[in-house]
Amino acid sequence: MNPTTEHPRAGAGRRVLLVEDGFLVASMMRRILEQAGHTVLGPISGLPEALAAAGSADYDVALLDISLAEGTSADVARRALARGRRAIFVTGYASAELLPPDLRALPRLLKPVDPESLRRAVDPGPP
Amino acid sequence: MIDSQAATVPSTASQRCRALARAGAIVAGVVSVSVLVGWSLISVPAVLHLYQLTDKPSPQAAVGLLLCSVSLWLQARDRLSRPLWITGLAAAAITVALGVAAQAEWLLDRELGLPNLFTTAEARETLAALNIRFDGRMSHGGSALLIMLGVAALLHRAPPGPGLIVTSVFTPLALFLSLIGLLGFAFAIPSDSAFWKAIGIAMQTALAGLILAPSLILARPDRPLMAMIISPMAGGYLARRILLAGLAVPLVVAVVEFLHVPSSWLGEQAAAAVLVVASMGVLGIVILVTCSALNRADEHRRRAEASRALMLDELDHRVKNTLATVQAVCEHTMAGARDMRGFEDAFRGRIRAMALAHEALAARRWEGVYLRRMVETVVAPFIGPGAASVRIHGQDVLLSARAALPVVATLHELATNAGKHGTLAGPGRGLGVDVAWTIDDTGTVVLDWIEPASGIGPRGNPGESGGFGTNLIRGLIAHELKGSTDLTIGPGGVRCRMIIPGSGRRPDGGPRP
Repeated sequence: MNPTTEHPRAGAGRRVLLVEDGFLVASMMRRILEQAGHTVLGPISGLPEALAAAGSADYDVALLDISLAEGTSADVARRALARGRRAIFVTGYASAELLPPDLRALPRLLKPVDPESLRRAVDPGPP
Repeated sequence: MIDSQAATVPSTASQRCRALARAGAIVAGVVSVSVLVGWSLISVPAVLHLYQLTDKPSPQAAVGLLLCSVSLWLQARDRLSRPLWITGLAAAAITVALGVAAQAEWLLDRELGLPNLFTTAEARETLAALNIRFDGRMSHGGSALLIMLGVAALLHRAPPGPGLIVTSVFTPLALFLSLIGLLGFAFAIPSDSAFWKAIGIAMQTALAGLILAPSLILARPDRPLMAMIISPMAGGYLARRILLAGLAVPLVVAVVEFLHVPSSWLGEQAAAAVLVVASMGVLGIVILVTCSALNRADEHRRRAEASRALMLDELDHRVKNTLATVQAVCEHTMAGARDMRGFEDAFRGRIRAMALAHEALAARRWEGVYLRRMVETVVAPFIGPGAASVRIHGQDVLLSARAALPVVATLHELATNAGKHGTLAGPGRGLGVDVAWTIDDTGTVVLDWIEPASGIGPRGNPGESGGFGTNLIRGLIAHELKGSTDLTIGPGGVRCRMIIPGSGRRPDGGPRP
């Protein structure tokens, strides 16, 4: 039940919604993703903007820093999932327990993010 | 020889314990002297008549207890000198010897004539005239008390080990023996009963023992028993409350019983019932009050532990975020560097700027940083001797912790560029930089970085890693602080205006760090 396998853009560069409030980390992730052939929307640092983008923007994968200045990005993830998009958390917290139970099964990338893991998380390749 | 406890600074609690021990020694000494005065040496008739009502304290016991009191008084000191210690030991040794001699009298079943050593013939005659039976031997209980107290005084300075164990057993035992003796009087046990044959402590002996035993414990506040009682921890709190109540309540009951207060009102059986219920009530209240205090202490501890766990989580999070930022700085700097040397300089400078901001934040416990000081520190490495200066205009502002890192990083990139290509470049050439700021009532800081036209031409090529530096200047404050940065590079020089919303406040008259 991987939504990306049914997605029309599967195989090609993904459109990645990047929510990360650290400018340096966000621009590094954007560079890594763009070099891998993906298109990056954002980076977005504010929670309201992230929520709006998750609900309306055109993207395949949402890459979400969990703790933003205005709160957590849990609702952003829920909105992305509700639209059938993938959501991946990026976090400095090692434990999943800080996440609400319904989101604990989502993939998490630990900070500092390893470029190869980032590329593989966004584009797992053919199933 | 220096005592281990004398080498450390005594706390006020320890000093108080030792002072109390000395006071106890004096009181016990007075009680013993009263026996000798009334009984044996001077035979004051009034005191003799008083003693007739009670039991007959033997003069040996009085002498032994007096010497034990002296020994304790000499030794219960924060800094114990050698002569005092040796005198104390000698006194305690005589106490033990008297106790042992009394036991020997019982074992050998013959008199050693000890009372004659401490009584006058006149006193003995008075006794006979008053028809007081005095067999000359110290009781079993009295001599046991002397031995235990004497040994405890002898072992006053015993290091942890068997000596300490012996005193830790003997002092409470002496206390209980004295208490049993006193309670025997309180409950008016008939003097020909088996109880008195076995214990047989005179009231004055028991009283002196009851004072001496706790004083011996108090004299060494560093030992486990006392350390537990004066401990500021929950255990010490519990010990102070429960122990006091546990010892005091039965004693009060015994005294009340002795005075026949309730029984004269209510009759024997009802009085016994009332005393039992009353002591249960008092003990119950003490236990409940103590337990609620312990609960509060425990709750505080739990809350502290929970907040510590939260803090550790937060610390972990911050460290990982910082590592992620360092990683990002490294990646960006690598992407922009032409060679290793270029990378080294740029990377080192950027990490240094991050460290500076962290240091300034930590120094003020993450309350914020002073903008003027931050600007001075960031530009300092780019100003050599005789080089261009950085002119700072603006009243000092305390910048929030959140804004500190982005502002410092932006300023660092501006200063780096000015140092390489702009008005800070090289001695003599530089025209310097003006940094000015204003703050409005909402806390929004507007900061201007102004480099006049340097005369070495506009900076067409920002140089190695300049692409990233310029991106950082333009994007960092906007992204992380919802502010904006307007950077213009042209023939008129470099102008950069940062708008940092809601991040500053005027220091409220406080001193600058």
